[in-house]
Amino acid sequence: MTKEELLRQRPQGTKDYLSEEAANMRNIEAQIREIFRLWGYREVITPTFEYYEVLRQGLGSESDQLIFRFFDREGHILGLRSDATTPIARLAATRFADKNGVQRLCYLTNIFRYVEPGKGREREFRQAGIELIGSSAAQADAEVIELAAEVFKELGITSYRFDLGEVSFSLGVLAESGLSTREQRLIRGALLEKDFVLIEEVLAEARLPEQRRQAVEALTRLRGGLEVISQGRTLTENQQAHQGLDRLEEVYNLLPENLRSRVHLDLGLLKDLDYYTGVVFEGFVADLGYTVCSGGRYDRLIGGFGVERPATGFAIGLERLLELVPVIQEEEKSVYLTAAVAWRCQAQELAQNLRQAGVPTVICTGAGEELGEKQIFIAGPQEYQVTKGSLVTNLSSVPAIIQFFTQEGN
Amino acid sequence: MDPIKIALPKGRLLTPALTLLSQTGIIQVDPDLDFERRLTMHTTDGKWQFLLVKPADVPIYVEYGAADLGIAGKDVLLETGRQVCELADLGIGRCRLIVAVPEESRITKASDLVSGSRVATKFPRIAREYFATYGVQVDILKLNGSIELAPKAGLATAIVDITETGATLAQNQLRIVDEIRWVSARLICNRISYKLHYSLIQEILEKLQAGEERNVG
Repeated sequence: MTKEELLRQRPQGTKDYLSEEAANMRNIEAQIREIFRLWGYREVITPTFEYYEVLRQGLGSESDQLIFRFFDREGHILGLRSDATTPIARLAATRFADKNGVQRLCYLTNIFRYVEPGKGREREFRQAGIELIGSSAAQADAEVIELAAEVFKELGITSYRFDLGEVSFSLGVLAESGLSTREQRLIRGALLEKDFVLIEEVLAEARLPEQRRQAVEALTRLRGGLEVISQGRTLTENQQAHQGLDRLEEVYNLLPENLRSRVHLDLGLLKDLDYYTGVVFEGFVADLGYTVCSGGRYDRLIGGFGVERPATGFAIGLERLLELVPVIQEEEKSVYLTAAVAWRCQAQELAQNLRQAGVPTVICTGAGEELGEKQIFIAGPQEYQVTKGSLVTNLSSVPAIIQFFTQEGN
Repeated sequence: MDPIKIALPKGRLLTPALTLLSQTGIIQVDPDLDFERRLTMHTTDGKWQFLLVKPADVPIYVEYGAADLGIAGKDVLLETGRQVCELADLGIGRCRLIVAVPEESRITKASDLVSGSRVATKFPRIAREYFATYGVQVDILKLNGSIELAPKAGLATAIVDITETGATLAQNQLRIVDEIRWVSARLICNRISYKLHYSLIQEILEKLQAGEERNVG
């Protein structure tokens, strides 16, 4: 592309928000921030870029090419924040190292990933999420799912559902399957992509004993209610897998009845980030062709930064949410104030009074501004012509003007 | 309930695909179904809707949820790289993705291609990945048809294409130097539709598998 062509374009996978969209996004963010606050989660803000080595702890060696990378002048590799949890894990390990209790943290932030832009995939996108650090209890696993459900509910999304799994089950079954490391990796990728044909191909080539082959194959089919847990138990003797099922059952039973009816257990559920170690979940909505929220337990990630802490959490995609939430916010109309230069002082004072009363007010610069539906014209001291839509009247006092613009129906 | 939408590829896969679907007994395909002019069609029971699209467009319909299910060749799936669930190998439309050169060419393997050679193909992404694994730098030329003509016309040194029997290649005096992989038609599914219609999809998969075993046996 030439310089001139570049000048008028955005990089692939990025987005401009015009004021109405921006207002909607901020509105959703404000609602979510308030829910997190009410559940006792405190917001943290981490840097937009980190050392590449930090980010790599989270993304793992197979997806670290997704990180936007650059150098500082000392030659260190830096990267743009490629997920929200990894920097918070670094923060937890370094800033809360001496605290042994439980921390409830939340964030609303932008994330950068070098992906092929496609449906629901941008190179810069926004996420809101929470991290519950320091608790390995099943109740903590349940709490994060309940909070994710609360976000959907509070935003007025009714058709949300969750898939709930435990990564140690699939990993345990694969570990004892007799498949090579390479084959296990292929199957993990295929479970993630739901590429069942690849699983069949790997299994056909591997020639495992029948029982083990069936156990791996079943990972694609163990989806439903509590019955899949007992089916899972009969398929494997792997201890890790059994512990995973016990935990999954425990968490499922902790969930309130009305939430359980929205939850499907999926024993083949795996996540695209390597750091998950336990109960994981995905939230989705009928009308949207992709996952809206995603989370789970990651007990080893913080340890990578030097302090072992169990943790769990979730992130919710804000652009994806924006598609689901009805547009609530209409662009707010400002009052346009015009006055002869001689009356500029009065204009400033009046504008200040209106702003304090919460009315957005613009003093026209005189350079061909469109005045919109709300106007004030200062004709002289105490002489104001005010307009609201088709309503035009003369007022003589500031309180009367404020009342005019703040009363019902504006 | 809204009908479940299935994106079907126009062309040679259409009839065998419909046959397989109707053999499941779950999707009642009207034998008189006439696709001559129409691009969408409902089954008589109203439970299913077929969308007739270009084969290369099936994955995008499914990824975006415009169709819940679809039937697409593995070649198309590899080339488009769309995020969809690949549920089953339907075993129809089996052919090979190959690299071929003119019969008189001295090239016998991919790594014989000199840097800067031109390769003509309908599958630029597959071709690029294939040559990258051999560390060969070639210029990939994306063509939309008559790939076999490119070497003869002096446009390219080699081609990457699919072939069923190799007959067209032979007619055009082309020789296969490597087989990239076998491909066949796949039943694909939107990722969320898979979750929403899970039990129905399982039933279809079981019936397809049973059908396959019957055909083999």
